Amino acid sequence: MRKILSNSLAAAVLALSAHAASAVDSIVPFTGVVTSTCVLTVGTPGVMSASTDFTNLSSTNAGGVAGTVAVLSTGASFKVSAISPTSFTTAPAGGGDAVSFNALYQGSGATSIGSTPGATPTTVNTGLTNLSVNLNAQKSTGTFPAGAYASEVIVRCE
Amino acid sequence: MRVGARAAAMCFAAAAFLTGTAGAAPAQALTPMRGEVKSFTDQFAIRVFPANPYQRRIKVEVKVYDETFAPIAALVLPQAAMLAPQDNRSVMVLVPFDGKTVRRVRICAESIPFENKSTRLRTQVCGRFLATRVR
Repeated sequence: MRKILSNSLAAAVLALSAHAASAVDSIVPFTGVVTSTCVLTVGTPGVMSASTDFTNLSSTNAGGVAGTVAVLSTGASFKVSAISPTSFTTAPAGGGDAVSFNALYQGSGATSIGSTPGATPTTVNTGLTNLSVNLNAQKSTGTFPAGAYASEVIVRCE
Repeated sequence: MRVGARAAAMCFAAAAFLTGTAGAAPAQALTPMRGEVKSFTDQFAIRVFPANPYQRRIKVEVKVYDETFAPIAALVLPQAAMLAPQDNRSVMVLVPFDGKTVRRVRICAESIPFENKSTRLRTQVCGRFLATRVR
């Protein structure tokens, strides 16, 4: 009898403590803000190679490599473009004469973009878009002399 | 440069408003990217936050252009800065109205992450801002 009373008392205490715990349940609010922005991250720079007649340097020629840029957009109103250079930043003597530049880009991922002239802006969707950027340098007179060449394409998000 | 105390306060208030939405946002290339400013003086101030999304430090430059991408002689403090990986910092931009009542400007964060390749990709993230001079 005494043991039964003791067990009942312990059960009652447990029940009371369980009831008390549920009475202090509360809600902890969390808030967060994601700003509307555009993040550009260069994956790999490009490499231009010469055509067989040495009048063209391009990342689309055999041995050339397109540059890659990841575009992360958290807003729906941003546009990307790839601005062609007007000259080489590095070139041997005569290498930069009579040369016209032409940048092209295409994209995949959140936004599918076919081959597009660099100066034409394209609206990117929210999310991650992977851009592939190509650069062509065409010499209208003569051929490219031997030497190291370098140029810059500006990938713009605005 | 004629900036009265009240005008300066307005400029900084505008900048504070613009940065208010930016908050602590690591790995952003530039925040904010849109904004409107009102100023009582012949110039206006905007505070932007260029950021480094890379895993290594980079040099970031902040440049100011008009709506046709012609450079504007604006005061940028600091104009160039080294940013640690995933870091950002505030940059104050002071732009003159140049006699206009309304001025649209682009403030761009530019970086050159790779330098030893034949086709370098320079990234440029530009915010567009509209400033109105209140008379």
